[in-house]
Amino acid sequence: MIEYLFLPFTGMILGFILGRRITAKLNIWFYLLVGVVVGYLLGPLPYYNFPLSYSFLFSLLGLLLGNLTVREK
Amino acid sequence: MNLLPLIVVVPLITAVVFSYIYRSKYVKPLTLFIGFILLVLPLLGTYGPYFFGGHGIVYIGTIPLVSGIVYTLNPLKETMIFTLMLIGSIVLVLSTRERELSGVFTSLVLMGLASVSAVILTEDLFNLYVFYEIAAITQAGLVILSGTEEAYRSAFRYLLVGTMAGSILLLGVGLLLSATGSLNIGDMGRCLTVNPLTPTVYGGLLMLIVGLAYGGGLPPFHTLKADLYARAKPFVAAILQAYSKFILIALMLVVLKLFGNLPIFHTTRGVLIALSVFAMVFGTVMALLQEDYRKLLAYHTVSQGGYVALGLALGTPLAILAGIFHGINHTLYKSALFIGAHILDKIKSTDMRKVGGLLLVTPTLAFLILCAKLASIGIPPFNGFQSKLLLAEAVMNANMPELAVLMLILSIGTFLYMMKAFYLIFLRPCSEEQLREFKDVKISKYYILSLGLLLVLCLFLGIYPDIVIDRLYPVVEDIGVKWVLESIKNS
Amino acid sequence: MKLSVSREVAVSLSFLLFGAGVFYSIYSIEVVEGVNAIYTHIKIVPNFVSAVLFDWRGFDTLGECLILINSVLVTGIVFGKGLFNWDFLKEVYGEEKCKDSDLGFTPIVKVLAVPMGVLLMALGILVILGGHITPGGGFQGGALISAAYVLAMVAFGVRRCPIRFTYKFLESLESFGALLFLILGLLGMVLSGYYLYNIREIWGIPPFPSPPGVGDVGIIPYLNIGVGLKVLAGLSTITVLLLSQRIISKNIGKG
Repeated sequence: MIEYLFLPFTGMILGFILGRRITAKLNIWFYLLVGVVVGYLLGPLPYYNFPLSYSFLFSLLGLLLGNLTVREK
Repeated sequence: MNLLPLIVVVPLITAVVFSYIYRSKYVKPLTLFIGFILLVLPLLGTYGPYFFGGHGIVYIGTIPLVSGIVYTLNPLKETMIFTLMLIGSIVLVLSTRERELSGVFTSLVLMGLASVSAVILTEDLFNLYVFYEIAAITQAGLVILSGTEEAYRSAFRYLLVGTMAGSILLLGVGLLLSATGSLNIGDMGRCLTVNPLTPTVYGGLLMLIVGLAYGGGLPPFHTLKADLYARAKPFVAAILQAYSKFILIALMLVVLKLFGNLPIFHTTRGVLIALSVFAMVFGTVMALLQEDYRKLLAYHTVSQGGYVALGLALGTPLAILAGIFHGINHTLYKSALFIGAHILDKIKSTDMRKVGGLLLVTPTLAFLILCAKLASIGIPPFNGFQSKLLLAEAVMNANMPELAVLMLILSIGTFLYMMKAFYLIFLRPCSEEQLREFKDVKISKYYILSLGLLLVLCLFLGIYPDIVIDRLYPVVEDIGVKWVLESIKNS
Repeated sequence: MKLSVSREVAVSLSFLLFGAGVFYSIYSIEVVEGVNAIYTHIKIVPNFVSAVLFDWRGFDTLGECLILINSVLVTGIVFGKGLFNWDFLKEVYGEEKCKDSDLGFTPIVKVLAVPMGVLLMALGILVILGGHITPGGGFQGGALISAAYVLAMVAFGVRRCPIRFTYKFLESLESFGALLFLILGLLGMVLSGYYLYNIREIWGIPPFPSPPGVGDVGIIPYLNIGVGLKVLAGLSTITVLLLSQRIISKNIGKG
């Protein structure tokens, strides 16, 4: 299991670091929806057998989480 | 374990760290510390090849090919790196006396030291290109650091031409790669001797020479380099000239290793000798006309670069030895001269019309600079004499007495402008109040000490040149071009 | 006047000759396979370019990264970072009022900039991390992320940019990326004796767990991350320097 989830989680950490620098208020549900669509269109990375690119989705999730932590002013 | 890569990697890591903490108050002590660390680095490696990433020699059929990047260390490279690190260390130690020192300066100097030692060490043409490019950018940055308008101007001009020359060098590397299928210099040289020469190889050689002329300050790029040395702070110019001298030597050795045993080298040799003779003559003539001490030294550097290139271009083992030895000697005494110019800049100005009579103010400095000047002219017992003598001998052995005559005439020119500068700065009478003004300036002991250290080295090498020559000769004999000697014997 | 004409003739002639030489040598090019046969026959990771860049010739990639770092450093110096003497810059920038103006883009640009930026960032992270199995890698991914930043910067101006990469943050990212690369190389040296050795496993654990069949991934993804962070920081820093006058004012000690 860790073989398939290590890359997405690394992406999540990177996304979190970058997301903390976004000051705009991001609509989470909208981005998740768009993320699923884009992830489906991208297709998964080779060797990661899954219908959609969950690495992309996890990176986006990391970005949004990072954004959540800085949202309160 | 072979610690050879640390020669490159330690300065790189510290350079990155210094560029991050450039405003910190610990920059000065850390710079001093690193300055001493640098002296240890050349001793870390062991002789022989070093394979990066553990990718050694792979056989395709029966042909051995190096699959990765190889660095080799031999006594020649070790001596060159030691000289480079010594100059770097002295410059870093001196820089701590500057009021406005920031980590950026230290970072750039270290980056340059790392890249030039990589250029010296590497046996891989693309790796050489990468670090050559870093060195070019570093030199421009070091000049901009002095912050004057002229510095900006000359550095931008240098960078603009550098983008062109760098791309041409890269294209040349690409062409040679396509012709030989390898990037390792040894493999490429072997492949070139076996296979018939194609126009691609000629193109690659032409572009390699363009890159060499840019990196080493040979014509047609000599004015850019001279401008660069003259506009930088003088003690920065000391490290700049060390960089370009060693890049010149390294690239010349690459040309010799790749093309030395090919029939095409006959023409190449002519071109390179012409370039170096032009640099020698141009540098000397321009230096005679200068009023500013820094510019004088800058053009002197160009002319001495011509001497170094001449020795290497001749291609006989003795000539290569003389060229490299002159390069090392020149780096030493020229650094001393530039540091002297820096002290002069501190006292009043490097414009020779504005100073005078400094002999009464700082007799020690006057003596030390006189010694450095004598070394640069080539007067015994200093090292400049030994290497110029060796060079003249090599030129005579290579059946080109006319070049020896030219060297003699140019030496007289060098004597003229160096002594003119000495007279104008130290001996020319000047008014009492001006002298009092000069006396108020305090000169740090560091400067005098480092000058003294460099001159002791110059004197030592002048009396016992065999210490270096014996180390270099076995290596140089391998690189030396065989057919040149044979053709001389036959004629 | 006459001199300049003859000079132009000389320059064009030399360009013509040099160009003809270059074109002739490129025209008659015949590529020898040579060492490339090794690179294409030994599989390290599915993306052969990545394998050459980060495994066979990792040290060259390190050098290329350092070219970028050095260029960014020198660009910073041009704008007054750590100079010995600020007189010239003060002369040039001293009088001007420091203001960052909004060029007033249409709402379409402003509405699209943030979502596009966010998606580009996520895509950039994916490209960085997938560098060893798909086309891409640190350079491309880093460029994508910094493109997102530049997009937001261009649409909203420096002051109201929704993506706040401060100068300090970019500097830390860049140094961290470069140090990650350099220190991973040292780690290889400690473990195997070779600098930038691609460590397959440490005490039986692969450094970057990947699905079966990918090959010897080793430290390549980490090198990719280092390069990516550094490229992203480098390109963004240059953008910040070129767009904003505040840094120069700060450097020359004004405001």
